[in-house]
Amino acid sequence: MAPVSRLGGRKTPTTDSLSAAPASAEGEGNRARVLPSLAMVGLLDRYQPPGGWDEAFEGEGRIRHCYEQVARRFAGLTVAELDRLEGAVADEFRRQGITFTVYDDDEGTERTWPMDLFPRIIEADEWRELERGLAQRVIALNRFLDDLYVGERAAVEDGIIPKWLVTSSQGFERQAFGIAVPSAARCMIAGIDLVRGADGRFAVLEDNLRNPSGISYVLENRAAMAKAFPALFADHTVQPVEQYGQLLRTTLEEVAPPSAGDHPNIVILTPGIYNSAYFEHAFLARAMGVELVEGRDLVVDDQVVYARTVGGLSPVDVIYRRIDDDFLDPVSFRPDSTLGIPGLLSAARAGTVTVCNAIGNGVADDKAVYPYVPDLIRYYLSEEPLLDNVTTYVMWDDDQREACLDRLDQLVIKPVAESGGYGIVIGPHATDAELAAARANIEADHRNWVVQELVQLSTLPALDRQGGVLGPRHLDLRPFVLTGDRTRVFPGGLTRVAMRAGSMIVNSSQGGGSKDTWVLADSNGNGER
Amino acid sequence: MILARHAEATFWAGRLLERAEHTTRMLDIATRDSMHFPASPVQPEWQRLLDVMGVGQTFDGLGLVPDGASVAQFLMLDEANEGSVGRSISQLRENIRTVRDRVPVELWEEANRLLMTLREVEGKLPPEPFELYSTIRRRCHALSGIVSEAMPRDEAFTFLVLGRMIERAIICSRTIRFLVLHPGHTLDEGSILRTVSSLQAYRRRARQGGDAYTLGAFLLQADDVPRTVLSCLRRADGRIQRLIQTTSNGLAPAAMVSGRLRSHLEYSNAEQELRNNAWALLDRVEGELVALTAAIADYAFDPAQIPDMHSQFVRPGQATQPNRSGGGR
Repeated sequence: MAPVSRLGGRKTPTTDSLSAAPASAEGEGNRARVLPSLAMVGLLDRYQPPGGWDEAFEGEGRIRHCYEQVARRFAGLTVAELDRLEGAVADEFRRQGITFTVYDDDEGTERTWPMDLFPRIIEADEWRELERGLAQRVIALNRFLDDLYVGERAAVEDGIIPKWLVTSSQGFERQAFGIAVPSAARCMIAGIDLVRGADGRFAVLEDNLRNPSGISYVLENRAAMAKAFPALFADHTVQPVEQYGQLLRTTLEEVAPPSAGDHPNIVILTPGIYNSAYFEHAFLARAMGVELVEGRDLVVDDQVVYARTVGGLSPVDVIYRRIDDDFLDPVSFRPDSTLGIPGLLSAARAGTVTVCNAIGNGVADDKAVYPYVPDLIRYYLSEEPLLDNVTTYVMWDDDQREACLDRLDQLVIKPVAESGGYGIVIGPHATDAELAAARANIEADHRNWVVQELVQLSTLPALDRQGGVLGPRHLDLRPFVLTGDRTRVFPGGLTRVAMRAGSMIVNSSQGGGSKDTWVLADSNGNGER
Repeated sequence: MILARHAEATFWAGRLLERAEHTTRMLDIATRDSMHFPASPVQPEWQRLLDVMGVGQTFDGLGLVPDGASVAQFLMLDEANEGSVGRSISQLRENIRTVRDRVPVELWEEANRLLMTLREVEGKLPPEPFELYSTIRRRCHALSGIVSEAMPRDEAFTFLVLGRMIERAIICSRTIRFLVLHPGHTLDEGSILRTVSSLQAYRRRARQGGDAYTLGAFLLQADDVPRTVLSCLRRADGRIQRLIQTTSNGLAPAAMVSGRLRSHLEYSNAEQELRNNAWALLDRVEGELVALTAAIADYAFDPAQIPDMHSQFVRPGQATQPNRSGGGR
């Protein structure tokens, strides 16, 4: 069967083009009818949050206000219908090659992006709070990075954060000393991972200040959702996400070197088509209308970066690189890197090109530095942090370490420099052998492990195929924060969801899924801040 | 301005698209015609088909017997055959993926779908492959349609068209070679014309009693049939001229080669030349097409050709026409 007809060729009375539900419960008349107990019908009738905070339900099956329409729509579906809708979305993703790569998977490389259709909704008021907290945090982190690399290292000198901790960070790059960035925006694109605990408060789980990925999936999820449930969007005023490319371009133009003039030449630097996030790199290049380059497309001469085009060498002003620091410039970093551009650092130092995100940001998203972020906010901004940290213990402190080692099976153990969920041990779910290994790791290297209290992540309904119901699944949220002349928080972000009941692992590289994330606009209908 | 690497990827995407489509069409027609082949264990028609495609030796080298099933399997899916449809299509998809940021979304989607179609057979050609052939051909046509209707006329388009036209012209020339080498073979002239989509056009204009040479001249010179050598050259030439206007004259050598061959085909009596010495003419045609590819690659693709800025005294930004050190044309 030609797959396209599954998306476009429906002739059913429903307004949702993906839905083939023959005269399903959703007619105007049905919608107007007040259902006595929303949670007690259809797909949601056995929905039982596991304690903790549920995003959609409070207490005894009482639906939160902002989820009423969505719950009603989903409750009226059968598993088969929902399964088919998700299948259609997956087919569409597969056809479009919306994929990511799992590296240690023998199967090979590309996997279709997994998306659950039950959306995550954040109300306007709550989002405003988050927005302020996120902006505050990223502004402070940018101040910290600028202070560290081109400033007086005031936070270190004033004892806000130990010097040894900074200089021993794997992400700390001495080569970045003295490389200034316009507007002091060292982290132009940040992804801040948030979780909501049992008390209903959002907290920051970790900062991603190097190469946070996922924004393309935010946009693709929205597009898929709009195809699957167009009528739902008519019932809500959801802040749009399609403007991301333009916003990113504006941000990158703002940080271009002054010599670039009004129309800086921006490129995205990708490791190539086999990288796990290549889809996103190509997506962003399209969305911004800029070239997608590889290291071999660029040359540096006399401290200027050029792209090799069919018309000769063409100067480059801004490089949004999606390559780690280590591979960026074989002259300064790993000499065996074939992904990078020899001499790039000399050009960045000369100020003829802006590298985004700046080199050396890893020091500020080091998980051992993370416990100091609230103090850094107080120090640089003279404000109280608006977003909490998750309680974190540092292992070089003997008392904290001893206390943690006594109850490792209740805690979460993380390597400080990894991302993507690699290397994390969740105490209550770990085997004895895993815990013993974690203990040995910590004892061998106090600096490079941290231990956190386990957060009971909040839950939201997601399709449970085996159970034939919508079941509670844990989730987190990665909003994106852009900084150029000023700091802008992009509405929503990527909601990642664990696909197995009870699991707290939401990383897509570890088999997690995703959800469309709606930030509702203010009642006056606009999402302006 | 397009990156050199992207220019190369699109150029080869054009060639591979043309190659995959042509091989499939050729095979489709040959399979239909094979009912007229003499019933014998060894059917020389299949060997000839392989020779037209220029892969006869590779096939023999694998120790395969040229019967319908093994030739089809070889041309469609054999990993050992560099020009197989399977390898062409997966490379085509890879190339389009490389330039995914600058081609229409539909082009990538369709290329992706084309590969999925092929993967569904899991490496083994079905006993009745006609449906597969026709799906592949339709998907290739869809790709062409997207290129022609949705792509901006930018450099990526130019290189894609150049790739297609050169590949198409080479295929056409090889077809003529086959015609004049085997006049009156079982794969009849009608089939040959169908493989280059020119049967109707030829029938309408052919004089009575035309032979392989008349047909060969038609395939070289007819300027209103899209798959003849001259038509391909005219389109290629047009793109090169435009590129020269918008960029620089680095493509002048390419323009010279294509212009030289084009004018020869426009003004010569190709039928007579074919009768006198078909091989000499076809060698020249194919030789010029290879030279044209080299001239384009020389100018546009090869990053190694861009001088090492540290060893040469070239001021950056002015190196639009780098010196070629001993580079063959």
